[in-house]
Amino acid sequence: MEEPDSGEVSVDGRTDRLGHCGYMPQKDLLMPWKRLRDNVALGRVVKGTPRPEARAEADEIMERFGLGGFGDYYPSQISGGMRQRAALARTFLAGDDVLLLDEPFGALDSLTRLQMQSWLMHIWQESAASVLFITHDVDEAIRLSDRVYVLSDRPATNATTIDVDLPRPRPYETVLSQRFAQLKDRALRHLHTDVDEVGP
Amino acid sequence: MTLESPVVKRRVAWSSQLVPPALFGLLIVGLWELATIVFDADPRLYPSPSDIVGAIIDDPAALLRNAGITSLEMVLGFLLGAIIGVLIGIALAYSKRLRSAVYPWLIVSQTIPIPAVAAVLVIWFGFTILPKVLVVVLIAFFPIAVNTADGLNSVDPEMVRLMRTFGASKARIFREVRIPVAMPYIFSGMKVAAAFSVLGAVFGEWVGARGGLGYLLLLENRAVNTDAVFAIIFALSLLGVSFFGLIVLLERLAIPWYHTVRQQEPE
Repeated sequence: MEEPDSGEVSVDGRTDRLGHCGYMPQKDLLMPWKRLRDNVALGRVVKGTPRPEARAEADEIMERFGLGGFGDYYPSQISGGMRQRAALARTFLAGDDVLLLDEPFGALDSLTRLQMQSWLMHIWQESAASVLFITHDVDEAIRLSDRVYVLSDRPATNATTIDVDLPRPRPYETVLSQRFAQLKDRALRHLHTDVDEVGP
Repeated sequence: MTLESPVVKRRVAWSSQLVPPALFGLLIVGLWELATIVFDADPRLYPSPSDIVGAIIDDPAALLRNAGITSLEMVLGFLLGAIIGVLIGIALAYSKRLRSAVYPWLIVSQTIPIPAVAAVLVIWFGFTILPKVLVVVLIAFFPIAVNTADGLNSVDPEMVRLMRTFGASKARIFREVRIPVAMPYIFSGMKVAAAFSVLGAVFGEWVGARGGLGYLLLLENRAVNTDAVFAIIFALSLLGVSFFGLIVLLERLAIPWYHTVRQQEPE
């Protein structure tokens, strides 16, 4: 949506990214006046799929996302975790090859967040999309990613790139492994933040 | 996989909204009736509620016929005012330049005393329905215009961005995002306009009319038929409340989602 200050952003060699990249910000941005089914179908409908067809697809993906039977609900009637999943369903259903997820779980409590991570990996493995996932949570970054780009604080430059060689699937126990700890240590060192520092 | 169970919110029962005001109203009427007895009030000057009911029963046909005239003025004026208000609101929301040029004059239009305007309108258009309708328009368009503009401008820019990532056109974003966001605001404006439209119709009739509740009120007032005056006041407020209630009902039908949203907005 934004133009780069320098360089070029391209997807498969194309620079017209609007309508070709799925985007999901931290807020779920579900429209309170649309029922859940129509919210999930929104991307498809805007891109020209006939509404009944898009609705049927929405019902199908909602089933897979654990939202089966909630198609007629308004977003205000369901919990935060469900809304987040509905927003993800909308992003996935829009059918783009590249998905930008900007701190999608940032607003969730830590337990729900862990569940959502497991669930996201499960969903992602069934799809063909590449996901660019932005997070402040180092654990989340390493657990989910194949490759982590660590950005430094002001100005944001690519401090380092970490290739995560942990085997998949990655259940929660993964974060307790020694290899995980090594990778996390490396990431934290490059963030130039002394976590143990207290006071001025 | 199960996460949290869904929280389904329920509407507040209608009865709990109607019973307290009804009881309070009965209390006031009861005290009023009691006071006229205790102080032995002259019914020509200080009619009791039962005198007023008597006046209503005395000639309900006249009351009903004149109420019909006033209702027509209100409804026509309101509809015209709503259309003009929404159009002005859209224009204000979309053009900063227009907004800065026109907005102060809209406020000026609201500072003019309504009877003064009504008098001029009667000079121009005579004892027809037109001056009354125009007075109602003048009162009704303003809250609707301001609320429409505010509503259209209160859209979350992130939601517009999201639509743009889907490749949505400006027209589509207007139709599917801005208008729905503005709807509750527009209805708020319409509720205010509906309540005030009685005022507009009565002012219009006072300056020059051959019928309507405002006209009837003047006649009865000159004849010092105080009980009839109160009966007309009662009819007028009933008219205003009914019109307001009609808009509330329309709102519930038009934007049902709004009434499930309002209880809580989790951050």
